[in-house]
Amino acid sequence: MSTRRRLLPDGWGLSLSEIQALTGPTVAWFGLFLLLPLAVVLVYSFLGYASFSVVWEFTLGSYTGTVLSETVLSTTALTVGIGLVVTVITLVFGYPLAYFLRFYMSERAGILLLLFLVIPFWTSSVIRTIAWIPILGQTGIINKTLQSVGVIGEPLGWLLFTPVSMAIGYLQNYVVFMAAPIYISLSQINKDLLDASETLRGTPLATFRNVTLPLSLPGVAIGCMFTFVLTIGNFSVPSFLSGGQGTITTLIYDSVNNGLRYPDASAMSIMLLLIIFLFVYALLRRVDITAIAQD
Amino acid sequence: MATESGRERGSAFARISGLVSFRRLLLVFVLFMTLYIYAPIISLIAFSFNEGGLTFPFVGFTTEWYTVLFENQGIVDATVRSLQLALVVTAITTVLATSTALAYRYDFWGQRGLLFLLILGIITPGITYGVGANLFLTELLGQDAGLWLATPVHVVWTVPFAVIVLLAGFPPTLAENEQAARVMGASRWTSFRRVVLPQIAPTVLGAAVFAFTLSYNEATRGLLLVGQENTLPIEVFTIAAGTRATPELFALGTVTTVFSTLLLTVGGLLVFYAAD
Repeated sequence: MSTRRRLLPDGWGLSLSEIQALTGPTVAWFGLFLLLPLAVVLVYSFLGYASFSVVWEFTLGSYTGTVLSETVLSTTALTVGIGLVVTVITLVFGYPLAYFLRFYMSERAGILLLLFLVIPFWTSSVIRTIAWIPILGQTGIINKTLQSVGVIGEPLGWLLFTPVSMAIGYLQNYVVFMAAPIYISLSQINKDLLDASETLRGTPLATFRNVTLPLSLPGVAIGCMFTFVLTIGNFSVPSFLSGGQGTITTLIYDSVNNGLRYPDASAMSIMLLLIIFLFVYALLRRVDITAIAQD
Repeated sequence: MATESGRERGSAFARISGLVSFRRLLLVFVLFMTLYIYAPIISLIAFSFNEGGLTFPFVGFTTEWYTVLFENQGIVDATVRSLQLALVVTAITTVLATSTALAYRYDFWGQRGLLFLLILGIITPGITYGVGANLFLTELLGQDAGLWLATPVHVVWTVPFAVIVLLAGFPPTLAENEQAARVMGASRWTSFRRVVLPQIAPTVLGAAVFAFTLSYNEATRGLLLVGQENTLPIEVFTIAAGTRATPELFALGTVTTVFSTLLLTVGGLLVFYAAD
């Protein structure tokens, strides 16, 4: 930032009106098509509902009747639990991946491998999710292989349509998106600091604990933020890899799909958004993620 | 003194051998992760050519599922709609994201707000956003459900990613060259047309390709908006929700993956080439 400011002294940068002209259309688009719809969701969450249609009267019914109901509360707890567990698992698998890319590969090779790992992400998430079925199913690759080798007699039932298959699906979705920001944070660590730690006779473990890890926290925070938020908002994995027990996203979809219960869907959506905002806010308070955006 | 340096050498050796085995362990882990991340793609390709459908072991090679796929009028129509939508979304995204990214390089009031607005576009769950957009566009504004209603929703999804790609891919010398042009008397517009645009063109094209694939593969956001005019991912969702998985869908996944990969390789090369 500072270099740019020096390169473009007053008068050479963009004037306020030029900034407004450049960013205005995007801000307007997001205001109209993102903020307004979210505001509409908020309004609808306070409306009534009777026999397949919305009733325009103020009521807390969707909150007291639906959001605070046994089913929705337990599903919400399950969803948040899944989000936290998946975030931890993804961090455990993603950090070493980022560490390898940064410290055991050249810069170019690291970036190329990272890009290579992103390729599967560009297939529709629905298709990528159902692709696990013939791998994990009763007559799938894992069960048939284990059976033919003689390790197991009966196919393992807990591989598919269980929390295990959901975890496998979520981790595949997000591990690269955990690794990428951590990789960027690790790349920004000044090599001199690592040398200094070694000169001061820090063991590799001490160097990692006292230098590398703290300096990579902004990347960890961004990775955790995206993983948690995208996991609890994910629709494909609970739709196709769970044993029928959905998450809050499938509940929202069902309440619209079966009977157009928009106020209920809206109230649950607001709750989901609140959870996401709380999580993001808590993370941002602890770690300054804008550090990663600086040069 | 001698023992001192001997211990030094010993500990250095231990450290190096420790690092080597750690390195090997990590390497094995990364290879395993690569295989794991690619497992669904390998599964798609392998089972799409399997005579026995979605069961293992493979019994024989067949292209039957591809024939079934291309004869399925519903899927062909959905593909055409997805391509149309993705093209329009890409055009709008490119203009919005490029102008935003160009401005974002400078410090200005409201920059953080803009950043949060873009992040909000990514972190809002697709289904929540789908419900909101559906209520806003069809219930309040009275628009009929249809393919084009998904356009604004897809653009909100693709713009943040395009801005990230652009900011990462702008050549580092851009600001200097821009300033040089201005110092030598070029107007803002001339310097944009003759200096900035040629330098960022490959990155912009790369971001456009990125946006195209994102829109083409997006299902949840448009699910409640398109009505009967299913896009490809929504068609896949509908079929898979009804019958779980079919080999035909795996054939479709294979075709889509190959195309997406080709497109993105081209896009990635453009960004890489521009950043050099």
